[in-house]
Amino acid sequence: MSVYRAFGDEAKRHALIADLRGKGPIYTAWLTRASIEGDISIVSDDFGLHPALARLLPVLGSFGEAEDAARFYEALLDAIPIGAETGSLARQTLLLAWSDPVYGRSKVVEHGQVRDACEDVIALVAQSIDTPVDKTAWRAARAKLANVHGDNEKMAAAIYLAMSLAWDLERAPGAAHDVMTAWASAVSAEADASDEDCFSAEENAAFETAMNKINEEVMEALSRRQSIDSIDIEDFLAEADKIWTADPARNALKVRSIARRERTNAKMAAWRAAIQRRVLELAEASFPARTASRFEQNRGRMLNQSNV
Amino acid sequence: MSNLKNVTTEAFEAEVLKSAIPVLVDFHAVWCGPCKASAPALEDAAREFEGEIAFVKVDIDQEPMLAKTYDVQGVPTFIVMKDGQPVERFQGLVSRGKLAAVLEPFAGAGQ
Repeated sequence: MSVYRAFGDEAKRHALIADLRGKGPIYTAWLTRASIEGDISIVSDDFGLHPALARLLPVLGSFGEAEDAARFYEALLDAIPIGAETGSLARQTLLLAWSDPVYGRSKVVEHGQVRDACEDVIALVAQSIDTPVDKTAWRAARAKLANVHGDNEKMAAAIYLAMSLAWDLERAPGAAHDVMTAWASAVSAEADASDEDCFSAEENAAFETAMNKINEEVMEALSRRQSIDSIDIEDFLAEADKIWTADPARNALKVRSIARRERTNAKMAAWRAAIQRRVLELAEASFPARTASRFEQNRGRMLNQSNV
Repeated sequence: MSNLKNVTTEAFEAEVLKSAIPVLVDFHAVWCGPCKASAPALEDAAREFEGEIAFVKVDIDQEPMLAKTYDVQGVPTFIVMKDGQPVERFQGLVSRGKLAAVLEPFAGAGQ
């Protein structure tokens, strides 16, 4: 199994938490050229967290955009004992993508060949929590998945998610990132589709055409006033805003689109918050001695405060 | 060390067209962000399918004739070649799930 052991000592845990407080959530904290390529190996190499656990965290922190990410990271890091093996926690977290009662994909896949193929993969991921799984078993599960086809977008997305889950995280820990992005994308598509103000196909086409046309108009207008190289994003957005608002019919679509995006973002935030809670529960259940000692520490702190 | 070999126009025939096993050709450019972001997934897939599918890279700026021959309009573009013929093609950032979905049938055929 994994050679990674969490932190090494208490000082390392504090150093990682301090680093995240100082630099921001995990993705932005080490946003180097390497991390754009998906490599945040410093979290594993220097702080001993399993690479799969490190790689699933950016999505749960909304790539640094969510304000709640820092609190979640700190709580998670605090729940992990010094020297713990964290690959199992990563695998248990990824299983939520299938089994979570609210957001798991198992609820959108009906009984049949697709479900059978997905469940074969899930069984392997569950097995890999305690026992290494042979490469041929992963390959057989993927080959079975490759032979089934979803007859709607939700089923196709579930197959894609299962295909992302069907990797040995010791050999390909980056698959954890793929699973989380596939899951987020499926939840986001569902949120869009269930919106109270969905665009019709005609409105979608009209909005896309308007957007492309306005983007061209913006570039034309700006390039008449200044060189292309000197156009920055603020110039572009200000000019675009002028053109959109000058046409009430087109602008109405834009206003509705923005409102819809905000509602979807709120639903995604609810998903993130729910899964963050589940990950913390899994960590507490995985490391009961650490949970008990933190409980005692907090109890002692509260008693001291009440004595003061 | 990278499992993806850079292939030039001169080597393309031997490495790709006459390959005994299917080949995934990654048409990329050094300035392309999605190409860089796809690299870890490609490395993992190359390890996973070692001996069954070969993985090679073609830099479109260094090898414009190859890009033209295969009508590469954007990067990254991936083409699966089998028996010297393109049999599958897709474009944009790839994940391990996408690569597995596309490549498993060819890997099975090669076994």
